[in-house]
Amino acid sequence: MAENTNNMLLRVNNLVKHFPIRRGAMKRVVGQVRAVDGVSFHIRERETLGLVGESGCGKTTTGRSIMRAIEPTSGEVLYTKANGETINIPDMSKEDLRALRSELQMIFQDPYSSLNPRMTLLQIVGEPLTVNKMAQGRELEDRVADLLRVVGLRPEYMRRYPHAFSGGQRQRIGIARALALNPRFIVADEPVSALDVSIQAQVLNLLQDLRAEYGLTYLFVAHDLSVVQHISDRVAVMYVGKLVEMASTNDLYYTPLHPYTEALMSAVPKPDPRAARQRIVLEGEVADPANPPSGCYFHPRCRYATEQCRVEEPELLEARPEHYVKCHRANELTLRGVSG
Amino acid sequence: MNQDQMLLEVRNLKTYFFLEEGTVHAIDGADFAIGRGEALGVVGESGCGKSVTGQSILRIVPYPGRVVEGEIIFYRYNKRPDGTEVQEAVNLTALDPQGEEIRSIRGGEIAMVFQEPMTSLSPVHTMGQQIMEAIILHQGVDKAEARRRAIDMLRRVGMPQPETTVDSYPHQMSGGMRQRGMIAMALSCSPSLLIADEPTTAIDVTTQAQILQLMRDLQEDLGMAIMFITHDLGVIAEMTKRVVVMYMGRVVESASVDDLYYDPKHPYTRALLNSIPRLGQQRAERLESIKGVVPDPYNLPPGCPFHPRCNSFMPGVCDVGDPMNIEVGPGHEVRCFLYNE
Repeated sequence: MAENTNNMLLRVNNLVKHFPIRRGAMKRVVGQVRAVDGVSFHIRERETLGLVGESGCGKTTTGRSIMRAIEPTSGEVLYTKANGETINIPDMSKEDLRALRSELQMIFQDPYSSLNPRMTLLQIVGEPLTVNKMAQGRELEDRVADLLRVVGLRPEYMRRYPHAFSGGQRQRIGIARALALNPRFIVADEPVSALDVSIQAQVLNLLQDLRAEYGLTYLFVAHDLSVVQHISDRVAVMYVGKLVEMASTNDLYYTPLHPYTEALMSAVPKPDPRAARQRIVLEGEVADPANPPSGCYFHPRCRYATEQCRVEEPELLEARPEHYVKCHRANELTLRGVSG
Repeated sequence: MNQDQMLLEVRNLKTYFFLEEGTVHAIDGADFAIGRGEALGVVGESGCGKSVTGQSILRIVPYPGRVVEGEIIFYRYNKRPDGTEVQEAVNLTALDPQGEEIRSIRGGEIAMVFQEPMTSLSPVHTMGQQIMEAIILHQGVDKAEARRRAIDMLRRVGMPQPETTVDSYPHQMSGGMRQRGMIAMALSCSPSLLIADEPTTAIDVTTQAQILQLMRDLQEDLGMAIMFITHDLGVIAEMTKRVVVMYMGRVVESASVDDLYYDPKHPYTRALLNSIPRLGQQRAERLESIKGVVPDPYNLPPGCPFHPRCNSFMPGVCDVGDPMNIEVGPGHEVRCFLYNE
């Protein structure tokens, strides 16, 4: 992929994560679940890249492999540090990785299970600071109070435990913790999908405010296409462990080039009773990543599939400027976007 | 609504949960009605009482919850030998929740589809056994006939290879297939009312599209009414004709789906509609959010329960009295002081 490398924060090249399937008494490896199967993309500084797809498509595994929350099987994750040095995250030693953690943080989906119920807010939000020996005592409390204020929580709550807070407030606690070390890059994994709509809007607004204020870069992993459209500058779509399309948000939503993207868009119920419904109902089910079909993984469900699609796997190509698509017929099909 | 087309009428329903910490008024005076063959949406956020409403109708409110007040009138239509119909009204709240009569209605005339098919299906029985159980219980047919009908129903909900899947266990199926199985079970006795509680929330959007399409087709074919409980305003817009909006156990607005989306009256409904990002709409910089959080159920604010979060809060009015239901248009009711004469 040749692209403008200015302000590039993260470049992922051919990232792979396979989970072995073990069977029998000897736990022999009898197959591989190809959760992430050769994914490449880039994120520029201060940009939000949305990563969408259905459950099991590998979007969460991609986010975690980048952070090395799980170890990737292979591939490059080139990250440009604040000092300008570019490093390959999978090659880093544990010590170096720990030092880098201050720049890379994660926000998790479930605000109920991602916070330790036995720790107070002071301990939860302050932990990254104490572990890295950056603050203690009075200074720590001041810093935690600041962080709580930033995410819209009252500093007086510092001595309370997570159970005293609602889902939206807990998500704010998780965000405060992620911000504690002044990160540059945040992987947000379904950060609003467990929240009610009225609370979801508050958290999305907070994430946008923080991005503007601290110049953050987000990889925003989610299944909700409306939320992703709202928050992302560019969007990548995954299907069965592979990236099938990536473009600027407007290009992807209004002029999609991949049939899966088209079907995904048309499947979202519109909150408008007068909206015309031209739904593409996909037949069948998402392919099994342990036993994927031949050729293009989407061909059994694709209404445009040809013989070539059954046999030959397409490559992710730049069909239009900055618009990447993995489809043999990308240049001949006219697909419908969200407004159509 | 025309009285002879009425299917279910809920009047001043109150369902409370008696817990050690206090009493939770999960439903605190709800009124609404469903006509025969009608699709009604019940929308609201978590804790608003929408699921407990469904459970109250079927009298399956879990302990320590109890229906404490109100009536749920279910209208049965019995065919006379000469072909005319006779309407019979049953008050479901007056029935013994373990009694003979509610059990003949539950699963037979009123069926339910739940959010998470994995937890609501038995893991040790095959799909077929679970569907056949309902058919044998409610329709008094023998096992062979019940099996034939179960396979038929599975085919109808679009289950691949129904002759073999009838003998599969839920864990052998995908989420979408399990949800189809559950719908097949719910529909196997041709209910006149299907209560669908977040039936597509746990499944992916492309599978959701299949399931919604299926439910719409079946509703038309079978002429049953659906009560569609969900927090998803998109699903409501597609699936229903009339909507009730619930907040803290009350119906705060009820209207036709068109009025609700194009002319919402209650400040909560308006805020809810404004707070969702909409697919395909030009990106606004910020979403309108509802300030604050849903109040603590043990410690409800006085007056209208929405007043601490409301943009149109009127001091001395909203925090003092309890607003009444006001009719603002044909079939459009709202419970808010803004519309008092």
